[in-house]
Amino acid sequence: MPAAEPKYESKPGWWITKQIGERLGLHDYFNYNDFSEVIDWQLKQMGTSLEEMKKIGVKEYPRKSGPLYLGEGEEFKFNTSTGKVELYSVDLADEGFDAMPVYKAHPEPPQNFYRLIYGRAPMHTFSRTSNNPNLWDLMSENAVWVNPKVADLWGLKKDQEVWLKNQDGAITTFPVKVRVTERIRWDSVYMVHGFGHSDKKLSRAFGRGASDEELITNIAVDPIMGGTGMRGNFITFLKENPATERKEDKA
Amino acid sequence: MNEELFVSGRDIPNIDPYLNIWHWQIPLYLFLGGLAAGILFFAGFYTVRGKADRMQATVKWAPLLAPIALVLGLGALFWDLKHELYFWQLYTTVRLDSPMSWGAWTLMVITPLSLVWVASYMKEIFPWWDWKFSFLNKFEAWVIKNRVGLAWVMMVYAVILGVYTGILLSAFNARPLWNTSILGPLFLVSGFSTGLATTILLSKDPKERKRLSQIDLIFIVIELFLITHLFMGFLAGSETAIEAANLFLGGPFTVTFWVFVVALGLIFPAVLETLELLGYHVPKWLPAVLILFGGLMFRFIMVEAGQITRYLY
Amino acid sequence: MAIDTKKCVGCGDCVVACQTENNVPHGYCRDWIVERVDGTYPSLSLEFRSERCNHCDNSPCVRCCPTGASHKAEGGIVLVTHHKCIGCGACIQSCPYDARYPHPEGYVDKCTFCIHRVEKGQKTACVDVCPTHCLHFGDLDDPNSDVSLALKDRKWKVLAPEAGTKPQLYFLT
Repeated sequence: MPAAEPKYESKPGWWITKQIGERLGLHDYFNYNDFSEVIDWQLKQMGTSLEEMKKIGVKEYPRKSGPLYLGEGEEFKFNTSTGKVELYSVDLADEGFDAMPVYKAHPEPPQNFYRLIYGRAPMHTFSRTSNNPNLWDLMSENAVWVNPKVADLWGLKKDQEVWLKNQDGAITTFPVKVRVTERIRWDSVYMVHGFGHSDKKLSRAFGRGASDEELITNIAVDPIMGGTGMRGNFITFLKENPATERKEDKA
Repeated sequence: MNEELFVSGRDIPNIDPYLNIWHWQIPLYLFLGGLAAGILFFAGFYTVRGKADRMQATVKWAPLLAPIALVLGLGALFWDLKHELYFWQLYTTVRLDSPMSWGAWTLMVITPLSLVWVASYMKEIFPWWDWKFSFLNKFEAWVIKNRVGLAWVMMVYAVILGVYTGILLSAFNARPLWNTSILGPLFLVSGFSTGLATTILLSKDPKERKRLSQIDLIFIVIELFLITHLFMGFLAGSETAIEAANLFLGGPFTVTFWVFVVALGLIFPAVLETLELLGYHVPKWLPAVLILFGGLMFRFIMVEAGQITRYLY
Repeated sequence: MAIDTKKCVGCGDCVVACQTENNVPHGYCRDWIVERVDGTYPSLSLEFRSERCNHCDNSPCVRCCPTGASHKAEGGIVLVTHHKCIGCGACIQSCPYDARYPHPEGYVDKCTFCIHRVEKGQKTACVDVCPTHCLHFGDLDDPNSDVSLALKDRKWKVLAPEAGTKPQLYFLT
């Protein structure tokens, strides 16, 4: 149920999916005219209806899985092989992993390279709001944060445009402005994720700032639980436009 | 390292990164206003002293330019307004706290005064001139009879106008470079000096020119003295005042100010005038033109630099 | 108004709320956020300030206005009457906080403390929307108002007190 009617040519996600489905001849899977019918059906399975939910907003059901908290003195077993809270994991030891985490030094940046740390800005949600006019006014491009000591070393000035190159030779498509700040360590640089869009249809966001994704070519994977770490990339600064250099090389 | 920056993308036209809300119109108007004040003051002065016959250019010819300068200045002011069609709101109220209100009313008085003054000399300047209507001729006769009285009023308003061109800026507490009471007398003296320079350019009588040059020399010395005091005051002031002074003492305005305003606009013409008074031959237009140039530059620099000085960020 | 610099995260919601509530033209703003960093890594202090017109008690903009367009409304809010403003820029020059701007339509515009909402008993748009509740608005003469309670047991500062304008934005530190 949209809180505000969509503007211009915007279409809801369900409508787009249904149109694609219909064209693929999958009409049976999209047997509704409006998604509210689906929501209504789903709610009816729960013993309520869309009409009722529109009126009351929230409906509470009695808990079926027992009380939320432990009673005093109550016996309880955790869902582990020892039945206890495990600091030492028997299961991990059985699989041949470290039963307790052992510190392993992480790779350090080579000379003249800096660890690329990416993060978010409170104004934007990932990269999808960067073309929103109001939020674009607030923050229209990202900057690469550089410690003053590093800036001195490289002769970088505030708002100077640089290109970034990582350890695998990947270079940002667009330049990014330097912010000289104490808020970043001297072995790292920081940039906000979600900028440096290369689609010209993003009329405001196109070519503003640089994209950190282009520099994340090395993804570390946790051998135990498979989690990914993308802050193990190292970058260096290019003060000249690498595109012009490439052209010169060809000529 | 300390860092203070806008993080909400604030970038308002003419406000950020530094204020630039007043462009060429205001300094031009301050220049023309000061120049007119100078011309009218000395026209009045020599009339009151009863030397109108010996100071023909001062009393008769130069005042022709005063209303033109005032009207051009007013035009520049009007041009500067962003909400022009509401300008009449200036004349619906008198606000004693506001220098701009003072200025609007002063101009309202002195512009017609200068026109009346010029009109009373029209027949002497252009012998073929005729006022066509008898009531105008009667009015002219009345003005000519009461010229000394008119001269007194004009002198008073010329001083108010001259001081006002400085006070307009010095009333702004938020701009440390302007916020000094020396600006009032400094602009008055500088305005009178440019008025004298204009009169010297127009005068054909060597005796009159010599007299005016002598007065001008005194004004230039006072001006240099006031400029020295201006900087002494800044350097003994708060952090913001010291920063303001540093724009001229090593900052981006150092060369333009000391070379164009002080050297070319004050010291050089002063030396030339002294040489002339000592009997050396100097092109008579050169010191006057330099003074006018220096005066104009001075106002442009003060308006431009003042807007850069601030309290925050 | 009191602004809690310890709670503000500098998200800019107050800025967008103001722009949409007051139809502020694109590229302009009546409030803005300043980030201040002091110290050397790793001993740093960081301050976010949501800034706007200080509605000064001794307001230079009201004094220097030649037409009376800039005035102090009942309750101390500094306002501009658009049809009296001639756009001379004197008030912009007089403001130590650079809180005023020339509206593209010619008159000078600034924060009104959302007087159209306050008159109806509502809070200003920026206060209402702040996700960290770092803005406190109200009548300083009323000891039980939000702002008075916020100021009661916290240390605070005002910006550029040396400008002598008696600013009425209090930054809790």
